[in-house]
Amino acid sequence: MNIETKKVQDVLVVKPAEKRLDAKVAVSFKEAMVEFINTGSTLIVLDLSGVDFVDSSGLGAIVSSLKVLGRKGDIVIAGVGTSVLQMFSLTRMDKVFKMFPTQEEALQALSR
Amino acid sequence: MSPSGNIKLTILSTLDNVPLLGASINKMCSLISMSEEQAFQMELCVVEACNNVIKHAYNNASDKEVEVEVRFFDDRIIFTICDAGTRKPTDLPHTLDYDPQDLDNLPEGRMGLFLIHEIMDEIHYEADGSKNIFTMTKFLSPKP
Repeated sequence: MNIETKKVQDVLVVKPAEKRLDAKVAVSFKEAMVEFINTGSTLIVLDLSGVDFVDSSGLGAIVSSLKVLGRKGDIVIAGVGTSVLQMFSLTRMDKVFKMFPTQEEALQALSR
Repeated sequence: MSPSGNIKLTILSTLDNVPLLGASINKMCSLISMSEEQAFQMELCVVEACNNVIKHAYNNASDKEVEVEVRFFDDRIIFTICDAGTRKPTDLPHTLDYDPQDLDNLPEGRMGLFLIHEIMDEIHYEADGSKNIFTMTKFLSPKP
């Protein structure tokens, strides 16, 4: 799976460079996230602005990444469109993850 | 009641093919004037049902067939997913009860069936020995 990353001070911005975060790519996405966490990234902005479809496997991979991170940091979500937002709200994951309209707002919140 | 439209799509049982199927469903639903939100929900349910077939009924074997029939009526749309894999257990939970603050117990799986039950108005499953038939109905106007 193609994923773009950039470091902004202590925060890692992770941006999937694919339109779908689904069962086809969920395993490789989770492996990449675990690698980021295991190599010291504990504050992560997951920018989903380029993703227009997330299924339960993709969402499960995001949840699984948060559980791997545990309480030593945080993963926040940025840039979700209306369809992807539905996935978070239908499953109440919008109560688990802090959601921000843009990557910049997410970075500001994590930098406070 | 006869459908105003009827289409069958068949894919080989690999997860690579599911996005093609999902995008087709989304486009079809847009063409019958469903909102973007509803079209996404229909795509999601069909994708979840097909993922379940590939992962569980076919145990990720990639040379089997998954058949999706879509029937359009004036007041509803019916999706029928057929496979010839392992029979689906009928007692699978389709609720999603958890505490969003309880990190250790957040659900990572089993959300697909919950979403289908949450979104669709009627769901029916039958296995006739050689085929599993999963039917999902969404009413296009308030449920009669």
